[in-house]
Amino acid sequence: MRRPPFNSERTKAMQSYFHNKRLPYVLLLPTFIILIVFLFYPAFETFRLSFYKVHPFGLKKIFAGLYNFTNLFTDEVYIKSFTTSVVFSVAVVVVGLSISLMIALMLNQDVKGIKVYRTLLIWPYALSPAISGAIFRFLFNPANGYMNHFFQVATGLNAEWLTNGSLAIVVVTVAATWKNLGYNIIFYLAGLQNVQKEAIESAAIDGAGAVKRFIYITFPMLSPTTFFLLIMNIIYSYFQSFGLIDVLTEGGPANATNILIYQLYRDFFVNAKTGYAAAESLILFTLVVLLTLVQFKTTGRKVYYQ
Amino acid sequence: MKKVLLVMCSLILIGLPLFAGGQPEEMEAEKEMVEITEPVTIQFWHAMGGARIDLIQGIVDDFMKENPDIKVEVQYTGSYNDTLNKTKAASKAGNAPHVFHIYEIGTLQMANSGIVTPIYEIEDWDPIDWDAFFSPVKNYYTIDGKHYSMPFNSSTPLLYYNKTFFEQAGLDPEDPPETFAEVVEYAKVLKEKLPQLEAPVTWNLHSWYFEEFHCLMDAPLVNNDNGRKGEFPTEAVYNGKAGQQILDWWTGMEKDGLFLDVGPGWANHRAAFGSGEVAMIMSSTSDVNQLTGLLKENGWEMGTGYIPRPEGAKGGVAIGGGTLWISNGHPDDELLAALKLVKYISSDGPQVAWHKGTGYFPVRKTAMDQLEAEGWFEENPNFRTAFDQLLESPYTLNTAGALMGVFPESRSLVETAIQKVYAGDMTVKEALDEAAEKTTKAMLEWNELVE
Amino acid sequence: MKRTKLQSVLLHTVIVFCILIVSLPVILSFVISTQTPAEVYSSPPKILPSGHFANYAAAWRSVSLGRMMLNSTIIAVAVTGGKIVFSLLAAFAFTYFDFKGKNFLFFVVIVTLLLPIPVRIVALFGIVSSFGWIDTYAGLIFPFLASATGTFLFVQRFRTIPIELLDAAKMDGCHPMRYLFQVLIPLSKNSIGALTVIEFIYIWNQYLWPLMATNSEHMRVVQIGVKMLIQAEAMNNWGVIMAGVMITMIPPLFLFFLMQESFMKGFALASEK
Repeated sequence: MRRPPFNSERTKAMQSYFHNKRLPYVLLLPTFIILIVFLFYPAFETFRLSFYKVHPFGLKKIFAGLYNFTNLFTDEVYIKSFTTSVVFSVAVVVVGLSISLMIALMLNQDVKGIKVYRTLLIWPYALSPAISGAIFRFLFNPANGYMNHFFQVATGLNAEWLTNGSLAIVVVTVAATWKNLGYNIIFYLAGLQNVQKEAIESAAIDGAGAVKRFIYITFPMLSPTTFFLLIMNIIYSYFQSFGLIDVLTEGGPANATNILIYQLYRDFFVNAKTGYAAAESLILFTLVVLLTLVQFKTTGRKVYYQ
Repeated sequence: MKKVLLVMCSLILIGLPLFAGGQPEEMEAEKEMVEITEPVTIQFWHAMGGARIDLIQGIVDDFMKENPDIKVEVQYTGSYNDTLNKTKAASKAGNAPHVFHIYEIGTLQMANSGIVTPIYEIEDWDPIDWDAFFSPVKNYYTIDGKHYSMPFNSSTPLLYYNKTFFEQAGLDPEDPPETFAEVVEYAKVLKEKLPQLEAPVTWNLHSWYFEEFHCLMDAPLVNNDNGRKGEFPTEAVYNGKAGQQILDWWTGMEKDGLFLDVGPGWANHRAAFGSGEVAMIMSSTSDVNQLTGLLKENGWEMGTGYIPRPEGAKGGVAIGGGTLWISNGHPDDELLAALKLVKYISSDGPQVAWHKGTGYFPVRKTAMDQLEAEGWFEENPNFRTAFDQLLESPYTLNTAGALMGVFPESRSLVETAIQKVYAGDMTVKEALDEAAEKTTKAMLEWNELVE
Repeated sequence: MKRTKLQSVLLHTVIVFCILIVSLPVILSFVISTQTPAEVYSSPPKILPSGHFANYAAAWRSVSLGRMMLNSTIIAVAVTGGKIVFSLLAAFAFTYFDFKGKNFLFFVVIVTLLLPIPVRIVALFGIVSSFGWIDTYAGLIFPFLASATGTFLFVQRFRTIPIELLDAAKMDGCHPMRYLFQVLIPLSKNSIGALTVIEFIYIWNQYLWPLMATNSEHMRVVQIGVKMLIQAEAMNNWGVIMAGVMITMIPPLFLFFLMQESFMKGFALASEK
């Protein structure tokens, strides 16, 4: 069920408008010029190219129908990239949101110095994925990385952090989640501030324990935020983590961290297979749209707006 | 009247040969004179970072001193791949750099890209003495007998070993292993006598070594004469007997704990060698100085040898590295300036400086003579090994290196195959077959688009 | 809710512990950035910073970090400024005017959240190339000037502003643009502040597009500089790399700390005001 953006009960009765007829279009013009030239047109053109085989230097285009797609879906490297992305995304979302929520709950207390604490917990969000990748690449460096060393000291094992496929995914997930914690915390904090104090206190008076209060009141009231963060984190893990991967593992070892966006980069920029890259873009787009729609259908219903 | 006609006819007869030729070279000879009078500016993009940026700038500065009418704007544009993509984009916008630097394996790709001026098309403007070049070097960049690009930084792999460790293990430090079997033998001794080693041998996970072993075995990587005779290859054949033998040996050592898997990239195996974790590595000939230094810091002595070959193999090594291409879409005087630049870079003076500064081979034999005369090889016997390995390589279509339009992708596939064998997911034959199949498919697609 | 002293101390401890864990990677990186190569490679690794600040100079020189910082700054300022202006205008249109296609156009704007760079990059590269904008500031700025997030944020903010103000303005015959500048914008300072931080950080941290859209050393941005540093120095000088990373981190962090009051408030999308 789609919610019309402007016609909620309150404002229907009360919204009034300026009467200019042309002005709104003029105001929207700059935004839409950019959107059309740099977003919509390239998107459509990319999708169109996905049905062609394209010369590496653009000299020739051969119409190929679904050729690129069938090849991708029967290519085991691509399929692996797909599953890796899904795993990575789920991990980032689940781990990231859980930890952020816990931290946000802690920070939502009335404690002295809470503002300072807040800032100190959120700030890594300002770092780029590339920087996060660089830092973790060093920390888990087999020769002299701190993490590697501490782990060895703690467990006596010499883990092949970046040369073993499964471990590499772990490192990448940790790096990606860590970097985005701040972002999630901010939104959860904002959301928590909306959770009506009265509801909680009356529940407390009724004898509900902290856990019950959380499950039945706080968490449902946080659902818009959770919903929003789910989408943003999914988009983050599928798209923005490119820089992190390129700096940290370059898709390796043996394609273990070769998420979809990285494979796309490879096919476009390294292998010069423009048609394939375009097809991969279309698949990525479809994936994200589907995920968003699924979000809307399932949790959208349960989202509780005041 | 008749006399006038006679004079006119004679004049025409005399003048005709001058114009009837219509050869571009003669036209350009006139253009060449134009070039001298009008200053031109050209762009040169290269992929050599770090200290080499200054080195190249120095060479370019010297060139500009000798050619006051030519201004060269030189830039480091990232990796070979970055440089290639950036050149592509610039080409689309109509301002490709005049000279740009691409990896050797991009040769077939670039020759069919539509954005280059192959050297053979313009080299008459300022003839190049190809005979002075090392054969393997110039052969790599020759397709069907014609020269396409100017060799720039050339290297081959080399075997590096820790002489001190050899002594400690009771091996003769002046006698490095020469065959696959000997490498295994030596490795076993090292493993036994020096248990502190992580493993006796390593090299980085790179398809380059796989390809070089093929050259040593005089075996092709692809069909149609390794792509060298002007017809595009249509099948990858590196999953044949040669490829299998190579990988059986390579991954076999890894399985037996004689070989350390340090992954891809050029840092790890050098670090492992330098810190004494391994006793033998293979790496580029351009690493001689760096590796000697690393070992010296720990009080060890370094030795070099030819890279190992299977018993009885009679081939040689192919060069790797990069080359300079000239783009098209520029006026002739700028193209001539570009030609002069690449010619200058390949001449002895700059090449000797380049070699000393980086360890890459100078591209001409005359440069090597110069180094010899200076006594360079007495001071640097390890470089001698590298040069000898190169000089002793016989020329065949296989040692010239393979030509594939999809080489980068093929390399990824080979490297993935090796990793799969390491992980035990596939046998050598299965992994190679899979990689070759995918390469063949990619080649056919490429052929279809480029033909 | 009342809390015992013990619970208070416990809470503080847990929070501080979390802060340490969260900040640890960066702290360690800073330590490395002050060590010499020998110290970096020492085993066991040293945890205390040294004084080898030459790393910073080396990082600066190694990849022309200064020029890249300048580029990133110019681009970030231009894009952030542009986005704010464009979004304010758009949000103003959506909130205070009734016009045909309003809902549809708003939907179109929001849909662009589903079109991040990677989805359109193949053709975007083509079109920017054909403009001749590869390797220019234009190519790095224009594709980013519109913002669905910003529009959305400002619409939310404008909707919380009391209708009475608008009615009063209309009665006074106030021109809409005057209303925008004299009433809405001053009242949206915190949202503007929040958006400034978000967008500056977003564009400063861009990686994929600058990687593909710039060729020459003098047009590179700082994030690519980090990768270049690793390629140039990973052999034996992580100290220099980390120094470069530290330098790269400073502007967005600085902005973040500077604006964090505004930022937090701007995000309380609710009824407090």
